Amino acid sequence: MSDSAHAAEAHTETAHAVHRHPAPTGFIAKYVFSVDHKVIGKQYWFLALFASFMGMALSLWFRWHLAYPEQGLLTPEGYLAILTMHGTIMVFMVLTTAPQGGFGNYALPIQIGAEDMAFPRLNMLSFWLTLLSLIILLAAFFVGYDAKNWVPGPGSGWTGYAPLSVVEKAQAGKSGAWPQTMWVLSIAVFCLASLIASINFIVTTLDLRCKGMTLMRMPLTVWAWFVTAIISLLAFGVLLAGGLLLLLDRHLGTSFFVPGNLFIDNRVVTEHTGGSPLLWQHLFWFFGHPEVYIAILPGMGLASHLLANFARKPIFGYAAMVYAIFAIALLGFFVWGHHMFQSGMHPMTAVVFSVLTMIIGVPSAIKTFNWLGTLWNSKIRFDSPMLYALGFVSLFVTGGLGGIFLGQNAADVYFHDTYFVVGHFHMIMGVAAIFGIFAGSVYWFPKMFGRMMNERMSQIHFFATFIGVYLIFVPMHFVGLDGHPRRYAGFEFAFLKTPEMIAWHKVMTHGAIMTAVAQLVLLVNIFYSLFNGPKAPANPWEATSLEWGIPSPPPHDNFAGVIPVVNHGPYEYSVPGAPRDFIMQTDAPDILRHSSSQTAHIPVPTNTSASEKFPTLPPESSSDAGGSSGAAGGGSAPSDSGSTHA
Amino acid sequence: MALLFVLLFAAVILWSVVPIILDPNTILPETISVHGHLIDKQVVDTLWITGVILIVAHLGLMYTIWKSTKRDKAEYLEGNNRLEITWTVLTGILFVALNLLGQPVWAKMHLEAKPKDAIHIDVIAKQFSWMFHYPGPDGKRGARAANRINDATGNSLGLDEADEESWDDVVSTSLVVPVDTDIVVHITSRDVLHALACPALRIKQDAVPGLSVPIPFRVVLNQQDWQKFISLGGSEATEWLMKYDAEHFQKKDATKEESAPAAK
Repeated sequence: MSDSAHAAEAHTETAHAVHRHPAPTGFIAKYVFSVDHKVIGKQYWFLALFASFMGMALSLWFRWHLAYPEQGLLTPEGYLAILTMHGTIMVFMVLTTAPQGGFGNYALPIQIGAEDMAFPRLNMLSFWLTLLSLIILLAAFFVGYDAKNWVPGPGSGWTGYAPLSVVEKAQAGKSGAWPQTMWVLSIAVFCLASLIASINFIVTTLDLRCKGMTLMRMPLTVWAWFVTAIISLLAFGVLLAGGLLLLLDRHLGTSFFVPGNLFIDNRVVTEHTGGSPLLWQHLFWFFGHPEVYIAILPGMGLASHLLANFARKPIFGYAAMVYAIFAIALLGFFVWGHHMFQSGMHPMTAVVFSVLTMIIGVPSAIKTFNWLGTLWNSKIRFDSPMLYALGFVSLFVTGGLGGIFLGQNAADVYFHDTYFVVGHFHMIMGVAAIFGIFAGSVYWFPKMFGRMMNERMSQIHFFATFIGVYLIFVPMHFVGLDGHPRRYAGFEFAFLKTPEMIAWHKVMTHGAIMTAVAQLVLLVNIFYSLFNGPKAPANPWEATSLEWGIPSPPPHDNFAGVIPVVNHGPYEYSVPGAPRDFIMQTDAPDILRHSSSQTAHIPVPTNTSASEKFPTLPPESSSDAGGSSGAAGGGSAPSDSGSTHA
Repeated sequence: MALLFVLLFAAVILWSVVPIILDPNTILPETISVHGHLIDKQVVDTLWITGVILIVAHLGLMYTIWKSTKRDKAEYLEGNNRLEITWTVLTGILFVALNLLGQPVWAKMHLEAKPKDAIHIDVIAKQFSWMFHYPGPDGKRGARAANRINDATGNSLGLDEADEESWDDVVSTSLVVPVDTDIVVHITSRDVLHALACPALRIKQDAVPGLSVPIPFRVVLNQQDWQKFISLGGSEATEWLMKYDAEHFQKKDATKEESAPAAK
C-alpha cells in the first residue's frame, strides 16, 4: 500500500494514524532518506557531532595561535577566516541543530504520544537542507584556494557585517568573492531548513498530542522545543530576507547595506550608494538575539526535566517555568538592539533596548530560582545526565551574569567588542547549551540506540570538560575587564603585551586543549557504547515521561500501534502514598488509591512489549488529541521495568 | 559524588572571584576621562551585585546537593507561588534599578548637548589605521570627499585643497589632546566598520561609513605620567598614541608639518 493510500485510510481511523507510515525495509529508506522522526533526529545528532568536532578543531587552531602568536600559525586574514568558520559552524550547525533538530525530533513526538512528526517528508527535507547548508559552508574553506595566499573562508565574522561582507575587495587576501558568497548561501539554505522544521514542530505539538496530554501536562522539554520552534519561525524568516538582500548587494548591484562614497582598494566604490550598514545589523540581530534562545531554551527545558528526574522531586513551579519560557521568547524579540549599543544607532533607542534587556533577565532568574527550589530537600541520584544538568545550572548562572554587564548600555561602553563579550556568550549560549546537548546525549542514548553509555567515561568527560571550559572562559572575562579587544590575531599593542595578559591567554589555550581531549573520551564512549554498551532497559532512569514507557529502542511507530493515554503530569516524583517514587504519565489515574492496598500489583512490562503496556483507546476517543484535562482512557496502569535503581 | 560537586562549585567560586580580589588592578585600567569614573562606578557596582549572585547561587547548589545526601527520600514539593512572586519582583526591581543608575552617564555621553567650547576632531577609520582630522586656528575642519582621496600623495582623507577651511587643518595618525578641555571626537569610517577602543578614556564606538558619531570627553589627570599608550585603533589598525600634554598640544604646528600633507 502506498504511503498516501495508507494515510488516507488511516485518516478515517484516528488523527494519529494519519502520520503512520510503514516501516521501511531497505537500507536507503531506513537509514538515509528516512521519514521516521527518530532516524532524522539521529541524523541531526550525528551531523551536529561532526560539526562540533570540526568547530572545536578550528578553535584549537586559533587558540594556539593566540597563546603563541610568535609561531605564526595564522595570518591576520587567516585568523579572521577561521574565526568566522568556527562561529558559523558552532552557532548554526551545532547549537541550533543538536538541541532542536536532534533531540527535539527524536523525543518530542514520543513525549506527546505521537507516532511521528506532523509532516514526515518535510521533516526529511529539513534535515537534508541542513546537510546541504553544512556542505556549502564547508566549501567556503576551499573555494578561494590560492596556493600562495590561501585564506580559508570569509573574514566577516559569523555576524557577516556589511560592507565587509558585501564589497569583495574589502576583504584582504586572495580568496575572492566565493567564500563569502558560499557563507551567505549556506545561511540562506539553513534558514529554509529551520523554517520548515519550525512549522513541523509547532503543528506536531499543537495537533498530535495524545489523549490526556494537555498543554500543562507536557514535559518542559516539549514546552522548550515548542517555543523554540515559534522563535525560529519568526527569526529565521528575517535572517533569510537579510541574507537574500546581502546576496543581491554582492552580486546584482543593489545597495541595501552599502552607503555611497566608500574608498576601498584604492578607488571610490561607485557600484553602491544609499545603503545602510546598520540595516544589516538590525536584520541580523533581530534573528541573532532570539538565536541565543533557540540555542539555550531546549537546554533549559532539558535541565528542568533532568533536575526533577534525578532529584526525584516535582519541578519547582512548573507553571512559572512555562510562563518564564514564554516571557523569554517574547522579550527575546525586543532586545536585539543591545548588540548595537555602540553601533551608531540613535542613543535613545539604546536606552529602551537596555531596559528591556534587563527585564529579560528576570525570567532567566526565575528559572534559576526554580532549579534551586527543585534541588531543595531532594534525594539526588548522580547518574551521568544529572552531572551535566547540574553543570548546566552553574554555567547558566556564571555565563548569564555577564549579560547583566553587557545589557547595560552604560557599562557596554567599556565592554563592547572586548573579550568579556566573547567569554559571556561562549559561557551561556555556547558551553551551557552544549552541556544541555551532553545531558540530552547521555540521557536519551539508551532510548536512541538501545544501549547504555559507560558511566565512568561519562563522569570523566563531565569533570574534565567542566573544569576545562571554566579555565577557558572565566579568564576571558578577566582580560575583557582589562580592556582586551576581541578579533585581534595577536598582541600587536603595547598594553596587551603585559605578562598577565599573555599568561591568561596561555591558560585559556591549555584549558581548550584539556577540553578537547575530554571530548575524545566522549567520542570513544559514544562509539564504544553503540556496539558494546549494556543493553538498555526501557526506563533506566526511572523517569515519568512517555518515551520511557516503550522499549529501548522504540518500535518504528513508537507505540506499536497503540496510542497511550496520559493521566498524570510529567514530574510526579516522590508522591506521598505512591507505590514507588515516580508515577509515569501513563499510569492509571487511580494509582494512588490502588497503591494503598495493591502496591504489589504495579504491572512490570518488559522491554519489548509496548503494545501490552498502554491502554487501548477506541479510535474515536483517541482522535481527540490533547483533549480535556485529566481524561482517562482506563485500562491497566503501565509501569516500567529494568530500572538501574530498582 | 556529592562531595565532588561541593568541591567543584567551591572551585568555581574561587576561580571566578579570587583573581579579582587578589589583584584588582587587573580589571579596569586607570581611567583618565571624567565620564570614565562614572562608567567605572557602574561596572564596579555591577561587579559587586553579580559577584554576590554568583557566590550565593553556587552556595545554594552546594548546600542543596550536600543536604540531599542526608535525606532518605525527597520531599514532594510542587512550588510556592508567594516565593515565585517575591523573587520575580525583587529581581526585576534590582535589574532595572541597576540599569537606571547607569543612564546619567549614557545621557552625558550621548544625549546631552555637546559642550560649547569643545575642540572638535574627526576620527576616520580606514583599513588599516586611524586618522585624526583637527581644525586649525580657525576652528573649522575643511571639506572632505572620497573622490579626492589619494593615499599615495598622503591625502588619505580626501581633503579639498581648494577649501580655505582646510588650509590650517591638521591631519595626524595619532591623537594629541589637551587636559582639562572639552573634546568631541566625530567618529566615522571611509571603508568598512571598525571599532574605536580607548579603554583609558572609556570610549568605545563603532566607526560606520556614512555616519559620524560624536562622543564628548574631557581628560583629567591625577598622575605625572605624561606619555602613555592608552588605546588601539580599529579592528586591524595601528596604535593610537595619546600624549596628554597640554603644552605639546600647543605646539601643533610641528605636528602639522609632519602629518598634514594635504593642508596648505
